[in-house]
Amino acid sequence: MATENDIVAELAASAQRVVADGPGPTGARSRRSQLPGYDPSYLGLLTDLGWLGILVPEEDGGIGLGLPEMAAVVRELEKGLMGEPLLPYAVLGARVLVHGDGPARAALLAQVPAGECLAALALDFNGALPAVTAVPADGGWRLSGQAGSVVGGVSATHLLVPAQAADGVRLFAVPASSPGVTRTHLWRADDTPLGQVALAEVVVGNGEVVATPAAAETAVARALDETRIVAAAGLLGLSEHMLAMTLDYMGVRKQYDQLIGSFQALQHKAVDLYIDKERAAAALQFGLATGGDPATLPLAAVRAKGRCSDTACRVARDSIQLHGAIGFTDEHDLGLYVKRVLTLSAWLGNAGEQRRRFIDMGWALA
Amino acid sequence: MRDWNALSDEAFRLAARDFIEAHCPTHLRRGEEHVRWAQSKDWYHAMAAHGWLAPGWPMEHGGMALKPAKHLIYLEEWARAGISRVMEQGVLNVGPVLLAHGTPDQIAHYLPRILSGEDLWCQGFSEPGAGSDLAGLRTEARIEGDTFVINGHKIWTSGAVDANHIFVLARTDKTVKKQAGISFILVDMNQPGVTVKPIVTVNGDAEFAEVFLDDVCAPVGNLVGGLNNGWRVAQSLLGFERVWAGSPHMGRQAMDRLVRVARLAGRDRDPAIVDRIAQLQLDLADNSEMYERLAQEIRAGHSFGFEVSTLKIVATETYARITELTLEIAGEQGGLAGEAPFADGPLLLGKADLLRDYLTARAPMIYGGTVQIHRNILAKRVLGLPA
Repeated sequence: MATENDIVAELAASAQRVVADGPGPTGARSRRSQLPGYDPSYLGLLTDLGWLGILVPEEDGGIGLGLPEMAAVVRELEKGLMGEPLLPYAVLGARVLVHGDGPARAALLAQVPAGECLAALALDFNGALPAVTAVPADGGWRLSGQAGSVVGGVSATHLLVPAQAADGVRLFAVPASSPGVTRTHLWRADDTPLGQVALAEVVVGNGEVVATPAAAETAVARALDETRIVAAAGLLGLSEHMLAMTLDYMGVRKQYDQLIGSFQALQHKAVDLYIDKERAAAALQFGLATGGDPATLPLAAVRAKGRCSDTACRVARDSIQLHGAIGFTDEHDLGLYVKRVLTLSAWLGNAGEQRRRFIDMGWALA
Repeated sequence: MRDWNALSDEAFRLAARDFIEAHCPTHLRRGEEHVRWAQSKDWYHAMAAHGWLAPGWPMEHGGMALKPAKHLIYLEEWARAGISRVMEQGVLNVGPVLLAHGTPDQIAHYLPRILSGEDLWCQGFSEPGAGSDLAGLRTEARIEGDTFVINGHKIWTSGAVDANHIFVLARTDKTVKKQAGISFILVDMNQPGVTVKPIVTVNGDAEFAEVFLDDVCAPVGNLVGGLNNGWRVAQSLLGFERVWAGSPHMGRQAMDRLVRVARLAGRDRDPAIVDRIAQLQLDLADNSEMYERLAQEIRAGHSFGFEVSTLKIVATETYARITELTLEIAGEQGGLAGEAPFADGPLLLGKADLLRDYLTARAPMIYGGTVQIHRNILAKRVLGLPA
């Protein structure tokens, strides 16, 4: 019987093959500032591989694996700039559904593995719940308000909208085509879209409730922390890739008739990136080792996302520096990776934001 | 002799703790501080009498034969109790080197004398002109009949003021490449021509000394591992204990003091300070995670490689940064020698003080290979960067 580690290793190897066979940076370049921000045929491939269902429990029609398996996939896929749209739909959206307690949960979750339900969580910036209100109407609800930060929002089939009702926050699954829904977008650092959603008196039934006030805020918080850990894995993969690019370059680029990789000042800079990358891998492992236990999940997410964001940003900056002028060009692929790092590190809280959470949890003076 | 490896890890940890609490006097609980033999010999003899002195030696030679997992636990318990290092070169280096490269006569002669505390060893490696570039050493040993006659100047010799024996790396062939002409020789310090001159460190300790060797004699039978083979012998000497240099124990102890100082100085509510403490806590936590990963490998019986350089760099640099922030938080009191008075009462750290911590933290970034040397090693051996 395959052990957990075998499955992680197999999935990582599959993801490496997907990256090797995929369009890589060239594909990412061709998709810049294009909707929906990923190749629709890639969604088909992810469906065929079963990866949209990795985090959906078996009893809900998924594969029922855990964060380590999804993290292994995303860590490799990001090396080919191919982490989208797995992150918004198969991680964040899917996990919000998993933690729901409402009538809409089961049917939508069952459609996630086949790519029939692409559910995007509607948030405001910095992880805030959106300014959306829910008012009872005709045996259902009328939703109004805006959500400013909806990754995956432009191509979602469903928007998972936390809305403030008189008795607390309810989480609704709003079909994206519902009357009164307006979707626009901003461009993220990596030229993929960030959805923005306006809801004007959108009518939804009680059957569209994914989570009741008893579960809604917890469901969102847990899904966010789980996604932070998977995003951290993506940031680690990006760090690994940028460091490899940089070391390759240091081994071929000559100045003063010497390989620049032989210069001690540059060697020490590269070593510091390697050390940071190793430490980020350890922080990710800590994050994954909690096994999704709700009690330890927040600290796990804080440490993994904070460290991996910090490390990836440093590796990105110093990789540009170590490449010199060529690293500052649009033509060189390094910039695509740097922009992906800027996108992923900012999403769901950068290193400073995670450090603030760490302090709020009382760990600074522990 | 007891088979310590037969105990569960937890039972062994408790046994180690009980032994330490019962026998280690409080005046030796000074962490990184160096302690002279006169203060530490009772503890040394107690360890020897109860079989706790030589964790890595085989049982037939009076050691504990601890497997790596248990050995790490023993070191952890030392760190937890804050026990200062005592005369350790004999146990740590001479015993293992002789067991690996020595003759049966050398083993039979020297090992019991280490356990009894009769022979106290120091390490004669570094020289004024050979620090990080150790192979450039210039101390010479020429053979006259059945005697080595040794001339040279060793420095940074820890414990030399208390030692009566020194193991020396000396050049025995000047015609070959520098690593190939070095021999490893055991020398009795109790003879004319040996002069020990203490070096007072920046934090006031007399831990180190210079050792001058002028026509000092050692029988050729004191050669270890063959003529001109000393470089290889010396390389084998830094084994398991290298792992401990990358452990987060120094940083953890410094962090405890940092938090206490922050509270005493009333800076524990200053968001700018708390943010910086948080970063160091996160660094320490992630360093610990890295260390724990290596410790698991070791426990599983796997070998380890250059990750010890990575750990050494992060452990020592994080430790140093913690002491830097501590001194900064202490404000004007950080400029005082001795105990620092705060409004809520003095900071009682035993004999230690903030300045001393700050200065002491410089040393681990230098000894055992500077952090820059370890970066060179990683650049070449792990990253494969060109020479």
